[in-house]
Amino acid sequence: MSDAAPQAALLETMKKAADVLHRAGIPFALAGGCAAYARGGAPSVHDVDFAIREKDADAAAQAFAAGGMTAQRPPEGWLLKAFDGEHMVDLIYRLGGEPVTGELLGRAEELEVAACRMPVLSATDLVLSWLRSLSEHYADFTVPLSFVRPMREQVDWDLVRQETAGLPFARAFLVLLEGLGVIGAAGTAGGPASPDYLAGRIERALAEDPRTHELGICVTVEQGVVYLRGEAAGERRCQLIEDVARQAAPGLLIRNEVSVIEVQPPRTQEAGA
Amino acid sequence: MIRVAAVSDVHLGPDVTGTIRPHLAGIADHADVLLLAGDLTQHGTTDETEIVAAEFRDIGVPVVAVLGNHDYQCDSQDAITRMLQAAGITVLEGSGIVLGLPGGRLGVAGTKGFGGGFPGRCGSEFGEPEMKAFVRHSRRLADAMGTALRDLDADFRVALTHYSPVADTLAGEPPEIYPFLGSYFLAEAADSAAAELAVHGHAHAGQECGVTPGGTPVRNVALPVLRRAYAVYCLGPGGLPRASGGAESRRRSAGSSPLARTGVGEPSSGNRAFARR
Repeated sequence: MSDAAPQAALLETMKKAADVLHRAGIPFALAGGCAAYARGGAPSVHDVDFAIREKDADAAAQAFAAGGMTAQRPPEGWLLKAFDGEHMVDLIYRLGGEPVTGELLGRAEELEVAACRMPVLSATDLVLSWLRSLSEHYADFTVPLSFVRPMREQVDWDLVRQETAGLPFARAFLVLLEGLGVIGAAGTAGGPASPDYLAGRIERALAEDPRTHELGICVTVEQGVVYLRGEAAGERRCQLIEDVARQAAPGLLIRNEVSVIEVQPPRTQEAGA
Repeated sequence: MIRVAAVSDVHLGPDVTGTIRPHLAGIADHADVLLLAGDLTQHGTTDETEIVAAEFRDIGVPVVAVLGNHDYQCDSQDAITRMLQAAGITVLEGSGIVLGLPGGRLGVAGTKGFGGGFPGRCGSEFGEPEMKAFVRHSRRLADAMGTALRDLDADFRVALTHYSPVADTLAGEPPEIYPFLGSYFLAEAADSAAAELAVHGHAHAGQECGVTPGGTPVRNVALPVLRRAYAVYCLGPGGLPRASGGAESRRRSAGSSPLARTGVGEPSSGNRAFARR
């Protein structure tokens, strides 16, 4: 049996749900795999996700009930599930742990999906929603990889790096994307990788940042890893050098090989010795 | 004989203090003067300058300094100069001082100096105003030091700069940044007065010993180069020789060994010092 029939049925459910939300005047945006599809991805849709604000959840549940689709709040506490026969729609109000806000929905763009126009989350917000969902219990890179590839040029990767700098799984995924050549190194916005520009930017930051003012640190970027080499006058300065470099290259791995200068006593042997 | 101790690029601050001070006890037994060749602070603040003053005040020998580029970062160079002078440290900028020392009158003229590069690969006052200003700044500082150096009524003359007068002592630095590390204007100024020694810092990855085209021994005393609290160079009979100049002296300097890091009581004798280094 081909996949085409269930795909088509899911897309029908998507359109129906979008219509319900639209008629009820509830702000929403398409998310998940359907949004990836709307932004150029493969039509391998397994579920239908919409982002809504939490405060609209009750109104959404009523609207779905009125539209003949049952809706319920599962115990997860971050979404509402609506059922269109055997097909399910997730109405998500915490996306990757972050609350869905009016600003997030405001950044969505009207796109045509399966012959129907509807708001679709911005490419950057979509990528962020996937990267923020990665965890020890869900570290599958295959699905987000298939989503990200076709839409890489729509994404503000510098912003993604900044927003996910503290998330190890997201950073690992970005390293993978760089290694696969899906995106360039930080600062290249998905263009051709140019580690030289990045190294230059970090060197400038180290020289100009009031925390460091370090001119002699050699910065190289290899395979998405930033290497810092040289000497500094104290331990704390080595740490500050790393901090400033990390800020200048958010999301990249930093290898700090800067060492502290050891000061030996002067030579004091006497004349004729 | 005059024993000249020197160090630079100590980059002191609240987090880096007491680097040198513990090694200064008894310096008077080994040296007659201490020269500081700039970058005494990391960020060029007056707070850091208090730490510098505490580090080098009342050490038992005269202390003569120039500022470095780091000391200019906060545009507080004038305040820094005043604070150091209040601590008894002489700060030179296009000026000189003569110290009456047991071994004779030592004249030191100094400037921060600036970049521009070295013959064959140097900037010139041509083109954009920014380029002209860059090279003019370098030339004016060097000219002022040259004048001060020639005016010194002394038995020995030392040119004290932060930026390097020669490329010799930059070996180890990436060649691409040489024009940011020094200017031959400074060597020209030292040679114009036939100085006995030129001391500089700034080039952390450079090497200690070099020589000007006119034969003045050059020493890079940046702390990361010396890796010790200070070096001592001896001037006068049995001390550092002025090379005869030209290609011959440059060749000798290029093949010399670390022993030319003249330690206390380890005066270099004749050209041997250069031959060994």
